[in-house]
Amino acid sequence: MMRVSTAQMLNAMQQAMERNYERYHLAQQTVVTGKRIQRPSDDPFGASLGITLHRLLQESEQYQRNLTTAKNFLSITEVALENLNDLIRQTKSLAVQAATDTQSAEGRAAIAQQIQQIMAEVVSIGNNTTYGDRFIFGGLQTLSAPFTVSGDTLAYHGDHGSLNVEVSPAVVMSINVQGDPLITGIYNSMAQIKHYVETSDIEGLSRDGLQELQNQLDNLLRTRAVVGSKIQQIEMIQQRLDKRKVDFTELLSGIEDADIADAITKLKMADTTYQVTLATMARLQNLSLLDFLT
Amino acid sequence: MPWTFFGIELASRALQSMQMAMNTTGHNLANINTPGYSRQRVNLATTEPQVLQGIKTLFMGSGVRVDSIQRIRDIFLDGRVAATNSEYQRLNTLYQRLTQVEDVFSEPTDAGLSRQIVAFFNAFQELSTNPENVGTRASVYQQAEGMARTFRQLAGRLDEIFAEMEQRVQATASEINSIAQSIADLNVKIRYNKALGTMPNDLLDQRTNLIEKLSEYVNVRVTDLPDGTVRISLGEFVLVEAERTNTLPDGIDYVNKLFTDGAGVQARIAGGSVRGLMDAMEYIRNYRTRLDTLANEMVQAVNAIHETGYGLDGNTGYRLLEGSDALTIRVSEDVVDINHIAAGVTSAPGDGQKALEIARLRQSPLIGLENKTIPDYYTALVAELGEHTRAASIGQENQKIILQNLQAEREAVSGVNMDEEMANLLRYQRSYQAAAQLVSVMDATIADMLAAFTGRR
Repeated sequence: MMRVSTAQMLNAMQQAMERNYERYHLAQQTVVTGKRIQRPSDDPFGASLGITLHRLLQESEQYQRNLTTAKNFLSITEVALENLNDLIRQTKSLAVQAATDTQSAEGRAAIAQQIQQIMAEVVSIGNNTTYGDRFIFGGLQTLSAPFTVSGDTLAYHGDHGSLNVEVSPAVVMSINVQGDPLITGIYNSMAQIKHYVETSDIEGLSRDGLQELQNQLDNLLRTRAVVGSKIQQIEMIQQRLDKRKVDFTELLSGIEDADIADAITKLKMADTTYQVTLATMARLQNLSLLDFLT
Repeated sequence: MPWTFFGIELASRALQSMQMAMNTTGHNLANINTPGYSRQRVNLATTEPQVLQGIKTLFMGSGVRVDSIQRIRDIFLDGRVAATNSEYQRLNTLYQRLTQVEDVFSEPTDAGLSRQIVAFFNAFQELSTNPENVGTRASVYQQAEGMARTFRQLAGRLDEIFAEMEQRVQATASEINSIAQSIADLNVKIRYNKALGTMPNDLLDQRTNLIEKLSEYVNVRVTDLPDGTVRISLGEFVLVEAERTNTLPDGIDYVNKLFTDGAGVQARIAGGSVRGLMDAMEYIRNYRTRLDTLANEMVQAVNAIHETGYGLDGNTGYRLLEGSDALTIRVSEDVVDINHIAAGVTSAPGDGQKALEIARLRQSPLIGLENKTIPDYYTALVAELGEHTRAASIGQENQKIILQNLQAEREAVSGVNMDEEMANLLRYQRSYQAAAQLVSVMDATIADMLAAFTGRR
C-alpha cells in the first residue's frame, strides 16, 4: 500500500483542479472565439495552410477588382466600337447614294456635308471615350486626347502600347484597342469617300472607296469580336473566382473553425469534472482523525 | 536487588523519551506544509539492562531511550526529481518564450505580416491597372510603409525579447552563485554536526531544497562526499566543493549553451530554465535572421524591377524600398513624391507594366529565399515557429506529469500524514501517562517502604 501524505493529497487535488480549470478555460476560449487555431502552435500545419488560404483569398479579391476594371474598360470600348460600326454603315449607304448616276451635284454636296459630320463624330468617339478620366484609345498615353484634325488629316498622338491587366495568376490580358490604326483607318477611308463624292469620281467611289470602307468595317468587326470574347473570358474567370472564393472560405472554415457542438460538449464535461473535483476536495478536507478526537 | 530508585529512574527515562517522541511528532505536524520537509521518526530502543547476580543471573530491563531521530528520505528519488525538474523547467521556459514570440508574429490574424505582404503586392496590382491615378499611387506608398513598419516592429519586438532573456540569464547566474554560497555554508554546518555524530536532519532538508532550486535553473551533478558535504558541478565546472564555491563566468554563449570567461573557463548548461532561455534565444536569432533575409530579398527584388521603371516625371532609377534587414527596411526617400513610383517601362502615364512585374514577383521563387516565393518563405517560418512551440508544449506537458509522479512517490516516503501523526501522538501520550502513573506508584511504594522502616506513616 502506498503511503499518502496529507500535503500530497492536497497537492493532487490542487493539480487536478488546475488541470481541470485549464481544460475549462481552453474549451471556453474555443466556444467564445469559434476558432480552433488561436496561434500557430495549436496546429502548425493547419495554421500555415490557413495563412496560404487567407493569402489566396486576399489575392482573389484583387483579381476581382482587376477583372471589374478590365470588364468596364472593355465594355466602354465595345460601346464605342458599336457606334463606329453604325457610323461606317451610315457612310456606306451615303456613298451608295452618291454613286448613283442620277444624283445631282447639289445632292452630292449635301452627302459630302453629311460625311463630314460623320467624320467629326468618329473623331469625337476617339477623343471623348474615357474610362474615368483616362482616354482609352491613346494606347498608354491615357491622359491626353489622342487625336487632332487639320483639314481632312487626322493626327494620332497616342502610342501603340497595350494596357495589360493580370486577370488571374499568370494570365495577363491586354484590354485596350489603340486608336491607330483602327480609328485613323476608318477616318481616312471616310475622308477618301468624301473626296470622291466631292469630285464626283463615281468610279473611284464605287471601286476603291467602298472597298476600303468595307475593309475598315471588316477590321472593326474583327476587333469587336476580340473585345467581345475578352469580356466573355472575364465573365468566366469571375465565375470561377466566385466559386473559388466559396470553396476556399469553406476550406478555411474547416481548418480554422471550431466544431462548436463538440466544443460545447467539452465545456460541459470540463464544467462537471471541475465541480466534482471541488466537491471531492471539500469532502476530503473533513476526513481527519482530528474530528474524532476530543 | 536493583537500586531503590531504579523504578523512578526508569519511569523518568520513559517520560523523557515519550516527550521527545511527542516533540518530534509536533515538529512533523508543524511542518506539514513546509516544502521539501522530510518527516522525522523517533527510533526508540531499550536501555542497557541491569544485570542482577543472584542464584541465577538475571537481565532486568531498564526501560526505554531515544536511539536516534531519523530523517525519512529516499535520496535516489531526490536525484531523479532534480533531473526531471531540470528538463521540465527547460521545456516550460522554452514554451513560455516561444509563446511570446507567437504573440509577436500575431499569425493568423489581420495584424500579421502575411497579410501586409499580400496587401503590398495587391497595391501594385491595382497600380498596374490604374497607373495614372494619384489615389492608387498613394495607396502603394501606404502599403509599402505599412509592410516595412510591420517588418520593423517584428524585428524590434524580437530584439526586445532577446535582450530581456539575456538579462534574465544574467540575473539567474547571480542567483545561482548565491545559492551555491548557501550550499557551501550548509556543507560546513553539516560536516561539523556529522563529525559530532549527530544527523542534522533539517539542515539536510534545507540543502536538498537548495539543490532542487538550483536544478530548476541548471542541470547539476551532485556528488555526496564522505564527510557529509556535497560537490556540485555543471559539466566540468565545479560550482561547489565542500566550503568552496566558484563563481559562474560572465559571458553567455547561447549557441554552444555555456557560460564562459573567454579564457577557457566554461560551464556547460544542459538543462533547467537557463538552458530553456538559451534554446529560445537560439530559435529567436534564427527567426530574426530569416526575417532579415526576407526583408533584404524583398528590398533587392522589388528595387531591381522598380529602378528600371519610369515615374510619371519621366525619370528612372528610383528606389522604392531601402534597408538591408528587417529592422532597417523602409520606403525610400526617392518615392516620397508618389509620381516617382515607377509603374511603367516607359514614362507613358497609362503604362503599368513595371507595377505588374512587381506584383507578379510574389509568384516567383527567389534564390535568396531557398527557391521559395516571398509568401511561402514567410509562411514556412511561421509554421516552423508553430512546430517548435508545439514540441516544447507537449514536452513540458509530459515532463510535468513525470515530475508530479516522482514528487508523489517522494511524498509517499517523506511526506507527513496528519492522521498518522495524530495516531502516534495518541500512542506516545498513553505511554507518557503510563510512565507518569508508574512514577506515582513507585513513589507510593517507596513511601510505604520508608514508613515500614521508620514506623511512621
